[in-house]
Amino acid sequence: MEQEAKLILTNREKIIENVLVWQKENYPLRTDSYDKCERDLEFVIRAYYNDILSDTVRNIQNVSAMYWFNNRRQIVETETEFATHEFMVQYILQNIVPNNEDFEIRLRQLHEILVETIEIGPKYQSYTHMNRYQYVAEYDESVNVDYHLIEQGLYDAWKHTPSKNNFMPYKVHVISPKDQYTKELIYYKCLENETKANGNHITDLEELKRYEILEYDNNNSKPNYYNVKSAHYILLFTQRVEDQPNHYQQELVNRGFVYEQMAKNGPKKDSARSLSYMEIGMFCSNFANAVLANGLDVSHTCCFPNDRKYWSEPVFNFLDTNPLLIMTAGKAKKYRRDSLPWDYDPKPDFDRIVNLV
Amino acid sequence: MIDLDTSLDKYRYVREYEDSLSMPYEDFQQLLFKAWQVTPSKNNFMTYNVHVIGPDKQNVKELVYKKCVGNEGTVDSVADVEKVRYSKIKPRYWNIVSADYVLIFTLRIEDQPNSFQQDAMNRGITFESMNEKNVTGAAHNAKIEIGMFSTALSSLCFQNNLDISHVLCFPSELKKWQEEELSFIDRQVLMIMTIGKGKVYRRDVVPADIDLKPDFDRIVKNV
Repeated sequence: MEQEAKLILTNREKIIENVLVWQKENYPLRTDSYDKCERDLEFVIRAYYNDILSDTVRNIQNVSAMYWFNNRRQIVETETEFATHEFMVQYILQNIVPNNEDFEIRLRQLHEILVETIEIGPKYQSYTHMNRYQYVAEYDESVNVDYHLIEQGLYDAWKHTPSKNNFMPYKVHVISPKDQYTKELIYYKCLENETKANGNHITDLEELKRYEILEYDNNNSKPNYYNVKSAHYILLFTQRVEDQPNHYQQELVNRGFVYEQMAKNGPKKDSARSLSYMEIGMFCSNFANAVLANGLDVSHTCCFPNDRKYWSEPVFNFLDTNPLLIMTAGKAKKYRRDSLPWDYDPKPDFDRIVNLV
Repeated sequence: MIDLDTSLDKYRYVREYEDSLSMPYEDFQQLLFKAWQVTPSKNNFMTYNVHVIGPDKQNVKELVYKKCVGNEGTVDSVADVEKVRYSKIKPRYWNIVSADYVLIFTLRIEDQPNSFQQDAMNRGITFESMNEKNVTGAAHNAKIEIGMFSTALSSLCFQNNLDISHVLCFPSELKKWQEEELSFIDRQVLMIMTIGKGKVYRRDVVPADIDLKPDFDRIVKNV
């Protein structure tokens, strides 16, 4: 439906003009400020275009969610709004893309989402899902995890995670169940780091496998990092240097503002890495909440060689900077707390962390 | 009763908060407690402190604000940045002065390991979270976990009709935080977070369709 989508985008000025003429005739008291109406209609048309083009509903969900803030709809009465959007759909179907049943079904579907969201508000997620968080010792490899759930979680996290100056100075590399070899290699990287921390640095893969047998298999136990090996999905976070600033960022750069997120090297790049850590934490938290809501589990791993020179295998060619965090996701088989009582290894008390000045 | 259910769609960066107190500390503390409760931590160390500057500490907030504005001038090599850039509009950091609560996150090195951690140390395992001599590793973990803590707290704030914003432009070295009013800061400052009821949002000044974050596909890469 690429052609049809392009038709509504290229004709958007004509569509908006006709819709506003109709609104002025039929609802003359609705507003004196048609600039805002024009802007909002353009947002909606662009959302229709993007969703039709990419076969999604995200864009219209996002645009329609803007009608709500703090659990309140930002417009009091909806009659004019609904009538205007209905007219716009009819206008498109009669004048821009006539006699196309598939397109009509698709446009109507998006329009319904728009109306429903304006009417009852966006479907928010409950953050209390974080209550379900438990560190995973091992994932259940016999269960299939629908990628759609992971993708939706990633999208929610991307959407909801704020970023300093809107740079998002990090990348999330998603390793899926089909890449079992890559996941195993990551697992052995963690094990390698364990040997390094314990003063017996083993770098050879075969030797690491022998270490694994000796230290764990023979004792009928599994390393802390076994969740990495058994995870359905692994997210590998790296720093990202922005080389395509948006217009606003570019304007400020031209006026003398300096952004560490664009530094290719030196102390400014180090400062940007510091930001990356912070924002990765935010992203992870939002991703965790989204997937926990769907009955899946997550865990984090910070023990691994954090210099890219230790990730030289061809399967890691996608790593263009040092890895900063590993996150695993899937359906848990065993949790750390299954074998470790809750009153053993607690976090520090609230009063040791939070200090009222 | 505080509502602990929440949503993140409500986030908007705040330029300035309302003057009236949005939530008494007894209630706000429940949000902090819940955030502490749900935030995971590597090896359960929580290598950070959250210093809460309440509504009665206006002088401390103003000091923090001065540090942020001063830092902008240093980074961009602009002398008297308030005069040059903010003579007509309020500075970006006005949210610090006008917020009900300002949280300063600092690095924390553990000196009281729990019995599990102590058992592990007795077996020869070393923890960067207890390493006074080299805090780099602890600081990396702290930053990730501060991101998690602040996100949990943000969502709780949104559900209770509070707004939040983060500030990451400030001098981080301890030596630049030596005033008596800031004596509670004993280690590197990692993040500042402001909380209150928003009055002016960044998007009131910068329209929603410009300065967008990078597209989803530029951030998430399917390997």
